[in-house]
Amino acid sequence: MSQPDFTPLNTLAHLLDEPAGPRAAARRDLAARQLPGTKHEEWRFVRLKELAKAQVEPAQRVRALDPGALAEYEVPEAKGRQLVFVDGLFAEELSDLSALPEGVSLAVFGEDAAPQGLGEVVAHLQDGADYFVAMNAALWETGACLDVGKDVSAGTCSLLFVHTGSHLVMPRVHVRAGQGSKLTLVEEHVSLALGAEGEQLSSVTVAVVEADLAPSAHVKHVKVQDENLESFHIARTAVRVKEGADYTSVTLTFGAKLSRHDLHAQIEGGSTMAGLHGLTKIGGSQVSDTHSVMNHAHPNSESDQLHKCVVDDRAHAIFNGKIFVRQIAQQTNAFQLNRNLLRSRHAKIDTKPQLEIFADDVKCTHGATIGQLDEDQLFYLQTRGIGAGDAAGLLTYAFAAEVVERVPVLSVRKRLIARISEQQS
Amino acid sequence: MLSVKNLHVSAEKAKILRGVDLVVNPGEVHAIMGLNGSGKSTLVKTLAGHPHYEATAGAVSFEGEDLLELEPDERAKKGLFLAFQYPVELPGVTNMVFLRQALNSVREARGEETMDPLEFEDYVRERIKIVDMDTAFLDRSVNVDFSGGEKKRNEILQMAVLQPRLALLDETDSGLDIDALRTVADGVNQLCTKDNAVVLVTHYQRLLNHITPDFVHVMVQGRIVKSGPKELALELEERGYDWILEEVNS
Repeated sequence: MSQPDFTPLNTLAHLLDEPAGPRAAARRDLAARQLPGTKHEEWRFVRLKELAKAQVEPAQRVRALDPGALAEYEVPEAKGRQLVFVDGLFAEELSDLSALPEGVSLAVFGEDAAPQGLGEVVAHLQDGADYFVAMNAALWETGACLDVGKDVSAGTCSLLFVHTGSHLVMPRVHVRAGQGSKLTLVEEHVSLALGAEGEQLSSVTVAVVEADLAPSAHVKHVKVQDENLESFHIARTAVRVKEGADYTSVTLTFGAKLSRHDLHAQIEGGSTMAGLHGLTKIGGSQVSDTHSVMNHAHPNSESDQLHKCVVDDRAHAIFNGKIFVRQIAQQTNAFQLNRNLLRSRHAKIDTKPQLEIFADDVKCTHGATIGQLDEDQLFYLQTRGIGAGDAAGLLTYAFAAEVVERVPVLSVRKRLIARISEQQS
Repeated sequence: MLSVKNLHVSAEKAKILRGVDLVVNPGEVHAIMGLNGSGKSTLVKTLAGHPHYEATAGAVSFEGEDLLELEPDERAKKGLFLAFQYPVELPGVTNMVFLRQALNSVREARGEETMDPLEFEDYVRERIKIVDMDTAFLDRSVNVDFSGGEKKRNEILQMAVLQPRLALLDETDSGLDIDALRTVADGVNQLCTKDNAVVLVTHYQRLLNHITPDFVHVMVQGRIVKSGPKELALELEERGYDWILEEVNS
């Protein structure tokens, strides 16, 4: 029944063999599934074999961390509105909820107290029940629920997921933005090198984040994935947008040996705006796959997508951007642009814009480009005394900055600017 | 300062320069004139280190060093500057960041202190007056959505910031209206001292009404075939190039 070659699951096999409890159905569902192979259309560029072999298991207790260890991930804008998870477990000591505005609830939950509607947004969508979504649904342990009341401005809230060891981590985040509410959410996934000097331990993250926006809610969502280069990060972000609401996300992917982000926006109201922006900046032998689905299922909505990849060494970035415009969704205005910068001869890009339009009165623009650094620009910079390596770094920075500038939280944006300015030749 | 001896240059197997000789001393202004395709631009691009041009014979020394052995940025650090005929756009790189990084690279190579952003801002606000540009240009991406004239001014601004020993101006006058031409020329004149030198590449005499050259050179088919005082430029303007071609061919 369970996957014999999938170690993370083997350690949990007892849960799947005799499913019981509130999630028996979810566990039975998972046990019946197969890990997707490269013959699966949605997974054809990603080899999951290595992930399946990863020696990881769920953390048993919260690892005590020196608060200073997380200093570099501080988000001053979210002070007093932050939850920290260490290896998937809630780290109460490191979290701070002292400044939650009235009408905002940010709390952890277990399976006995799952919030109403959990799983509803993700289930609603195309491919809602893929292997990893099913895995998270069956096996998440501690979830985070962020609830913003009607007409409340929540300011900036932060969720920090810290990895310190060889663990299987299944973040589960549920965001409900009430009518007319405002929220900026920073979601970060990082690794801390502890133990033996420089030792990079492999973690496996299988995350599901759902955001449900009531009419006229405004949500800005920043996701940063900067895990170490031994990690695996598989994540699904599913969003539902109602009348007059506005959801804009910026996803920055730097880390993990293998990462996959499925990003689904379901547009169910008019006068709505959904923006899904991303920057993937990878090197070495990293593989990073972004699959987005923008589903216009209601007339008169707008979507905007700028996804950029900077790929160095032998790394491989994949972008698959689907836009559906349902027959009912007249007067849709959808924009998508994927731009890729190859920094090495051996780097690889696969890009596939995929538009399926069933309405006739719509405006859809999409484009994909793949290029290298421009020789004329490099020479121009060099004639001004800037060395070849710095010139390449400056141009790469300029390419990536267009996405980073969209990050709505200043401290995070500054940190990311420093991250993309790191010298390279 | 600069000595070019019998320089031969090819690009993609085509021979463009066929034995150029040129000596430039501090305090001098040289004008290189010639028809399209005579090799004027190739000469200055080769001196700046453009990777498409390969020196196949001859020698170039700049401040006592073998210039052809140096990378383009090393040449700039030694005090060489090329104002581009077609300045390159750098989306996402602001003029301010670009100019500061350039200046600091050059200063660092010379063993001078680098400038922090505040110091640099004061410095650049002073230098920008030389080309009569609005400081708003400093916060815009380099040359992006600049008019032709603004791009050329921006080149001279870079020259004003870097203060090179030898400036090569490649058709800096092309595409400029009379007012812009005067501003650019005034800027260049303000930057000329007895310690530095300028080589102007131009098609037309009109730039030389504003910047007075000490020497005028005529290039034909990849060589400097005639050199003379500033009056030579007027003669070219009046008589065209045919008489020189005849002289060369006979």
